[in-house]
Amino acid sequence: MKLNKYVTCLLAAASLAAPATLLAADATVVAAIPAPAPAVADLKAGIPEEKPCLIAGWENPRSVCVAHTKTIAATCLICHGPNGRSLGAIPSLAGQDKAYLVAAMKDFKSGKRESTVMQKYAVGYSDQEYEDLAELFASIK
Amino acid sequence: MSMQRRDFLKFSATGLAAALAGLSTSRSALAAAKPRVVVVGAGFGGATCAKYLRLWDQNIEVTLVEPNDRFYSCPMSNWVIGGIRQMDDIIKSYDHLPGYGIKMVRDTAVGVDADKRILTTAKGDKLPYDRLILAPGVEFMTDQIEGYAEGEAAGKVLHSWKAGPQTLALRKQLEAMPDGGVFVIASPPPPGRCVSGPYERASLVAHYFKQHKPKSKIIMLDGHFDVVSKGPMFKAAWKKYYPGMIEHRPYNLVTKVDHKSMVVTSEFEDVKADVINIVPKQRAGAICGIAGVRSDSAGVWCPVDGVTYESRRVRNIHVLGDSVASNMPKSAHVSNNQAKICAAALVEIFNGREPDPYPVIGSTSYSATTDQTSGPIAVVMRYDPDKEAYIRQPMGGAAPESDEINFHYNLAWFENIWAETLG
Repeated sequence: MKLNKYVTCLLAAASLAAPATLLAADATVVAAIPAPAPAVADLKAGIPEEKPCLIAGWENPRSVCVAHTKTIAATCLICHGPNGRSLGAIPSLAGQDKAYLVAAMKDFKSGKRESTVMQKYAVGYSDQEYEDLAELFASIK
Repeated sequence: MSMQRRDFLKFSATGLAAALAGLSTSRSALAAAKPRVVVVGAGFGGATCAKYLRLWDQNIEVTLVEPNDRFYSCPMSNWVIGGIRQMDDIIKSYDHLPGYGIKMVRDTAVGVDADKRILTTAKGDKLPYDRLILAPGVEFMTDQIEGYAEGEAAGKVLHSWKAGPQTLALRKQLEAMPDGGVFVIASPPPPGRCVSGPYERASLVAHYFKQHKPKSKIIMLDGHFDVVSKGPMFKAAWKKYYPGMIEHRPYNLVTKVDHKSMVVTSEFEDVKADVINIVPKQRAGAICGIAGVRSDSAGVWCPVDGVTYESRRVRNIHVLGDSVASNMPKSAHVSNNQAKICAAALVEIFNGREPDPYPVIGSTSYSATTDQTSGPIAVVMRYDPDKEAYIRQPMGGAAPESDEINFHYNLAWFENIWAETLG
């Protein structure tokens, strides 16, 4: 839980740091995101490393997994919009139910759910990454 | 057997060690002052990297050097050329970037002292850095086509491959062309910026001709062996919407152009044109040459470490976007994604932590085939530290046909990537 809290708050902080945004629609979204200050301070102090994590089958320090998840999440935003809030027909990820997002990725991967590009993304990520990303986006309120 | 995390030192050859060696300097610099990052180029790579460095660590001082006062988007520029959008739709403001704490310098980077770590600008500013990030986009190798420079100077030969004045100029020439005219579009052999772009351009110009100049022709002189990106999708669209209008001639590398007689010469033929659009071969932007990071075998692109995007040739200089030597598409999406990986890695390094050794790149691009239909291509690439390469994951590729749903997704993609880069 902690891992994604850090990441989520980072992303939220990210949008808050912007005084203005490209589009009016985005500005409303940014204004609605709650202040995340404590987690940013925590991150600067260093991520606690009590629990190793796995990426590609290898154990890593916790901070590596935080960075890994954070960066993939930032990739998602290219299509799904700043802080997971889309400015168009591509669905928003922010605030979606975690179980729904994980199930969606699994269904995209298997082809059970039709998609235009998401199957190609779903096969590129691991089940653990589905979980971490889903938790992150679910926790953006 | 329990899985052991691989020894950190094993990465010594990959550039990660170089990154960490740099860390000692960065750490001591950090003790005295904030880490200083200078970014050259406020495009999808540079602006995104500057923004995310500040978002993820406000202790980092970021300076962004860019000669243009506004952002001209290459994505959607074909839509202007095809007449389904206006110039105003692809011009975006840089006004939001200073709000992130980015210092904007409106100037051109002209010199790099890699030992002293100083970037020099055309106006004579000297910008010291701990890390320099070069995201200049591409430079055209126009000298490889006889007559190109003269034709461009005369305004008769356009690349329109950097959005801006040439986007509008090409649109004007197409508007002025008589019905029954011939539009020649030539694209270079790979690798270059936006492989699918010429095919989208041909599609949208055909869309315009079909309505306003139905007797006109489009001849594509393609340096590729086929319609190499979204091939089935484009071919299906051309057959369905523009039968007989687009002639695609593969393996047809342009060697010469004569703007007075309006003849384009390839290795195989001479083609008489009314409007000439030649996309020349490209290399990493000029500042990459100046900095000495165009270190691939041809001296054209910039090999980088896949974890940090640090140049494999010059320490503390990172390269992003189209200038990078890699198997990734040279696209806005990849540039934006690389920028975030580089920013995340630098934040970890500046804070004394290990960067993510397994970055993941996603690449999505949409191409329009009419004013209401588009199709996507997508692939995920994961970095393998042992192979020191990004490995394409299965099932990547393009949709077989363009459609209206993807046109709406295409519009959303524009808005979201612009906001992610500049908003």
